[in-house]
Amino acid sequence: MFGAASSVLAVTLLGGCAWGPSSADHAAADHVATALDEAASGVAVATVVVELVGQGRTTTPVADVTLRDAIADVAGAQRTVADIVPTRDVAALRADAVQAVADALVAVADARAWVDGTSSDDEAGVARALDDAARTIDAVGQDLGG
Amino acid sequence: MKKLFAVALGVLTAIGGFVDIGDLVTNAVVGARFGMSLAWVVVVGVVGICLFAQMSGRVAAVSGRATFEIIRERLGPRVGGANLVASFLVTMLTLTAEIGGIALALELASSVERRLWIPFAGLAVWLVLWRVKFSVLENAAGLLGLALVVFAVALFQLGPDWDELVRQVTHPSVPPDEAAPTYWYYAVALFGAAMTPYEVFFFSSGAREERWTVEDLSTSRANVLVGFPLGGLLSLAIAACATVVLLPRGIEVTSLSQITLPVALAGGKFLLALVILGIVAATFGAALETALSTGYTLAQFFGWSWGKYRRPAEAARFHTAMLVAVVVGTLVLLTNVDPVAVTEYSVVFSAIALPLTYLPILVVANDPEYMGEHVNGRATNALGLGYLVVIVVASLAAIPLMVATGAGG
Amino acid sequence: MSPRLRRAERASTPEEPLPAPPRPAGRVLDARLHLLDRQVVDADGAPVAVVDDLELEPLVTAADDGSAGTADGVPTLVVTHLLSGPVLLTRVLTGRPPHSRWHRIAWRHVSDVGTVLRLGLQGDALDVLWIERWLREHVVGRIPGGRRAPE
Repeated sequence: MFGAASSVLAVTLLGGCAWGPSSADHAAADHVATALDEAASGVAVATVVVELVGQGRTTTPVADVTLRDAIADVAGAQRTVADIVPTRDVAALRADAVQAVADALVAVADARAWVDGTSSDDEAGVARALDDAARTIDAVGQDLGG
Repeated sequence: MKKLFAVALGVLTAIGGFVDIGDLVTNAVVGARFGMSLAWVVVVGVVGICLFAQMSGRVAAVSGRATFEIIRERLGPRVGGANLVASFLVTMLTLTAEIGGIALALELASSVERRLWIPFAGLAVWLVLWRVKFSVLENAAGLLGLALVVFAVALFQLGPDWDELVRQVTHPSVPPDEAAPTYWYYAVALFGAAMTPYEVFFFSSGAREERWTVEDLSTSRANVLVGFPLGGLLSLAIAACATVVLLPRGIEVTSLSQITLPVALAGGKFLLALVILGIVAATFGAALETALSTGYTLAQFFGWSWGKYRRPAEAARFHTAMLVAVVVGTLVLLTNVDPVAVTEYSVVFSAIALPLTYLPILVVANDPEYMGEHVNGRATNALGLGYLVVIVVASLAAIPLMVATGAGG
Repeated sequence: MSPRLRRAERASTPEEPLPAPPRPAGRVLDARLHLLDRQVVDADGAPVAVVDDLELEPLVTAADDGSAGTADGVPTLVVTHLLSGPVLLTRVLTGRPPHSRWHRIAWRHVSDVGTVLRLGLQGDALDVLWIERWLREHVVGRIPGGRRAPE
């Protein structure tokens, strides 16, 4: 009887291993996608804030706090993406995602520096960096989904 | 003329006092994720709170006793005790969220870190509770909270596609990129945000504070039936602003700052300043109300002397309880928890506690010994029972949904 | 054991109307309904406590020959004190806190029983309010403005 039980157990474990990689893949891809959404949200907030500051439609404290919150969001996304242990198939995409989120973080932080008046960049430059970051995130997201 | 003024003041105060940090955050989060497809929940919630607030105000005005006092007398210490524990814990959580909201709004106004504002906010709340008269407290917070009307103004300025908005409201459906459990989780959260448990206890105790009698019933009815729905419209305006500005850009609401983006976009610095003033006033007012509610529920259950109309020395236990509540809330916030997360949990737990807090009111409002001829009419009872079913369903569904969706993640 | 009475033991036949209940002098109160969980207010109308429990003692008459009581020989119990405080927990659960922890309000001080129980004396004379007095002296009274009316 023990022999039968142990063989059933062995088959179940091996069977689980057989199904393992693809479901782990799926979960990893989902996590990356969620993190990318968060990062995209932060970048979008920064874009709107830069626009508002350029038009003088918001105050510096509000813009600063909003960007501070956006940085927190993007940093959280970076942490999530870095935490994921990818499988071989997803590894390349994850590396792209990490890079995209890192670029986004830099862009948003630069935007905050510009709003606070400590940056040498101008509005156009900051806006362009944010735009590029948004597009990169979009591209990685599409690769994931495909 | 004087009566008209009193009614107008009451209505305006009710509108301004309706929105608290829970409404603000939940409506914005929902608007940015689900558009207007959950607007029906706000409508259901507003009708519910109108019904029960009106009932509890009537109970207090007619019987001369606040609702919680009667709950223990009629339903016994076990049911009263369960009610007390549920209400007290949820109200404490809400108080913490409100103080956090004050700090967030002040951070937005000044760019000073919110952790530095938290002790200041807690102290300010307690000071006002200590020294300011009840009616002044209520009216000031309510009227200043009217500044939140800028959300409606901003919505008009943004020139949205009204047809699309109306279509989303009248034809609710789960958006394609969201799962059904998440939709229903946020429905429960929105329901809990609209039907806050502390509101009914505050309303009935407030009726005793202001010495309402049967003659004041019509004023109270006007306050509730006009003020609260207009406050509900304000909640919908907040959601609509998020729908129009945040949803298309894929912006998620994780903090107060994103909620003000639509207003800045629509009206620049002027509307922005007004909205921040409104948020500070609304959260401050709600912090006062929740702190008072913790005092009221404890004092009325244990038979302590209570009330802002008494000198603090004559209501020592009442004031001590509120002091402890505010201190505990402030200390919790100082541990650097995210106030928005606290808010999101407080609305869901409000929904869970709703049956325990609302059922006794329905029972008491039907009791002729206290209500005389002013017991509930058949229509009120039918509506009340219908709502009880909805409340129980929402309460039971809350925790499974929270677990299944990872608190809406 | 069935609670049904046999025909021979019934006090009246089903066709006869039930005998009228005895009408004692004074008001009839149901202790559970009218006394427990009721608010107690003092002579000025200020809240004192809620009745958490009642202390009952057997009635002792001058004769004290055990003839006081009902026909079954069960002694009549009278309410001697209203209790408040920790007794609430033990009433809901079980047990009894030690005698020294009972906060008593003597029944003789009760002047009226209605939706609230009214006492004939001032709250300050009562033991039950010691927490209120303690907090008043040491906490609320010490904070500036505690003794003045709010503005």
